[in-house]
Amino acid sequence: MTFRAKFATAFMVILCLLPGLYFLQLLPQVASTPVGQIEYQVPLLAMLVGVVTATVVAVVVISVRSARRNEPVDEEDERDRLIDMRGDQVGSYVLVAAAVLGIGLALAEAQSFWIANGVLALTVAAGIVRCAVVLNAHLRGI
Amino acid sequence: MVKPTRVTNDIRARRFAAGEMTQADLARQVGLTRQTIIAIEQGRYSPSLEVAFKIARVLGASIEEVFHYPTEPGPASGIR
Repeated sequence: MTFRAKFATAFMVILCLLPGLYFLQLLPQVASTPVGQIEYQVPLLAMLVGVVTATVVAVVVISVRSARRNEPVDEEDERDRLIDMRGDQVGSYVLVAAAVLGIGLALAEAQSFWIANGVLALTVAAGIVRCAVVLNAHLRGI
Repeated sequence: MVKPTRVTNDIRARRFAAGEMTQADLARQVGLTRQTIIAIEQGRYSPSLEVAFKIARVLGASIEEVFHYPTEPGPASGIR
């Protein structure tokens, strides 16, 4: 597996785990508490910081392991660029859905809880979809 | 597994015929990564026309001697 495929795998795992844990602790509260009283801001920001930190750690670990095996980490050619473009293209469809959802909820004067978490959920989904497309193209072809 | 391309090639055989050239050697000479050479050899990626010409030139053959495309129409041959 190439550096890029390893990174796509790691990022997909991070995007599934950390936001997954955030939503898992959040959703039970929705059933029992009015959403206006749910303190979601600090956990949300902590989760985002966690995603950034885990991603940096993943890049460092994968880079070091690749360097020890004399595997190139910074090479890029037309196939890599095509795969990235395909991932961006498919991921952007979900990202547009996130933007439309955010605007729609704002126009409907929904509570900030729903706007923030709705946009977050679809943004995370866009990242996961992008990683899945990139990984599939690396492993099965493009 | 369905291959994403109907283009086939003789790169592997021609590498060995050209003094056991490694995938890394070929990749370096045409400016690709070794992973991309592997993907091309396995039919998981169709290179650009420019890269196909470079590969053929390095292997000392014409592009049609290295890369092949079936003559009968297939599901991927329709113009959209």
